[in-house]
Amino acid sequence: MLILGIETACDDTSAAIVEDGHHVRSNVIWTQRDVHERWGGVMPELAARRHVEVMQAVIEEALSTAGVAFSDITAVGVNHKHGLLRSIVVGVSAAKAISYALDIPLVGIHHIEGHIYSNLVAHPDIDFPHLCLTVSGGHNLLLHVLRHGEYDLIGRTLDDAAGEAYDKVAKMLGLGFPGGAIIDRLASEGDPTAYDFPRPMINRDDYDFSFSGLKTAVSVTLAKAAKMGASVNQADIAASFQAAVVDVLVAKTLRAARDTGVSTVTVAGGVAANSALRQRLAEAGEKHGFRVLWPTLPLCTDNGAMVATVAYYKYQAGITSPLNINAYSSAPIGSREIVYKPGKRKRTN
Amino acid sequence: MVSLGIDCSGDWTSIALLVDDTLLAEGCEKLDRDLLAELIPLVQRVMGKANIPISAVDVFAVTTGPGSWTGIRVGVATVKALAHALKRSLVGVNTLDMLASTQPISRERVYPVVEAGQGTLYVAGYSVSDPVPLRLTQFERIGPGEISDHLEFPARIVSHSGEGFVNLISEAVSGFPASVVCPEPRNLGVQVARLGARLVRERGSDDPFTMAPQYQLNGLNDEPYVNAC
Repeated sequence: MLILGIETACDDTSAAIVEDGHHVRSNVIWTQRDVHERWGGVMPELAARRHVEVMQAVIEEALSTAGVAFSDITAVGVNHKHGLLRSIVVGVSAAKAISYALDIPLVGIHHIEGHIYSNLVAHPDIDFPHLCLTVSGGHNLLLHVLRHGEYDLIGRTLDDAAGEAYDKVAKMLGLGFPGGAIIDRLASEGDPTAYDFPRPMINRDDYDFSFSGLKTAVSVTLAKAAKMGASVNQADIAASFQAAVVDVLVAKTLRAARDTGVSTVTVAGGVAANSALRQRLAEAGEKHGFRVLWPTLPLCTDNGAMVATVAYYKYQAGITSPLNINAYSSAPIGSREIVYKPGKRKRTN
Repeated sequence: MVSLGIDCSGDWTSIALLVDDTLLAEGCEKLDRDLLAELIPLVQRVMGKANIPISAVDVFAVTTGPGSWTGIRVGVATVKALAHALKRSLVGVNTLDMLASTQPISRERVYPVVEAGQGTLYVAGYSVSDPVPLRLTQFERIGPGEISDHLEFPARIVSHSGEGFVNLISEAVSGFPASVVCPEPRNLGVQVARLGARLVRERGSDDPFTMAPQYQLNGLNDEPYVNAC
């Protein structure tokens, strides 16, 4: 069974063809990095404009890479909950039109479900319940994944997502955008103990996060150094910052894994690509006896394959969406409301 | 030739289904914030009224702007996907061309206006002395107070914007031999379908892989003036 998955949550335009929920026949991601680089962040209006320009070209590329035609597709899945509203609107418009034109079912999904399922693509045999730490520039959550389609949101960031902090720190250091990969690379050359940055809420007895204070601490350190005319070692800043982020993410995940007693922990979202986080969680899993899974790099970022995979399981369970679904910038998942923070908006016109 | 015209550039969403120049069915609603949710269901109702499947459409025509950014984005994204999935022709229609073509044959100059944000508007002058409206002037972005300097009288100003904007224009041209008319919203989809079918006959289909909304008119003036329809 072939599912077309469409994802336009933020600044990547993606379409994928996934067979039976695990065989990724194609996963085309049109990155808009060139559009947003000079702004040091994602500009919502510019992102939406690029989505509408390239959407059909991306879908065509997904079909041709997979070697299939529109008529081979069983259903179309699309993220319609969670993301930049203007961006999601484009993917939902396209998905609804394709569903109607081809007379095939539409399956609307939640963006966070996509990230949870990004680990099921390669591991359809995953244990339930399991724990999912999903972290990107837009969200930072811990979910207890009870069974297919049922999630208990047990932890979230109270302010910035870790990925957002990465972007902001990279901007402070003048390193460009997006910050995750750049800081990860630079951190490997620095001393993680050079600066003693705070580990916000690390000892609080819950699974929530906060990264705003850490970001401020980096900013204050840089400002102080500049005022005193002292030079900073950028690699040391990056390494010390990353160590603080990873300490908190690992500590909270460990606490949640212990309390829920799961046998498997998955990591998802853009920050799941971070080498230090992967290493530390793998070590923790070995020590405490749980399996740690993370997706391949294209499945960490926003992508159509994870959407198609969720849509596959929903369709199998008889869940489809009517053609009058709307798009939402945030929507509840599990037991608590997610707050999406799209970042500071600027005028684009 | 069966053409489906969709206009989401203004307050109303207007859809019309034509066979050659005969209207088969239409649908017109003020969808506002429900545009994304209700556009496809509205198309479904129009096709249902005509009792033909969406696959029977030869040409998908859509207003590409200027106008409501989200409106034209939803319209363009939808039409691109419909045409791509069904392997049919698609064509973009300029909002001012659409507005000019709503007007009956007359010796008066016709000036479509569209809100351009920050208290400005887009305007261009058209001749409608033939059945084929002809654009005579450049597209310009001006303040409403300047509009009388840009008109050749007698003039007919055409707008599909809200009442407040129309009142502002009416005040700006009071005392001049000019009228302000608001076309029936249901007529907008009809004109998009008509113009679209004509454009496809004349120059072929647009490309579903590159077609994009025309948020602003900057740059369009570099192109030679063309017949609107």
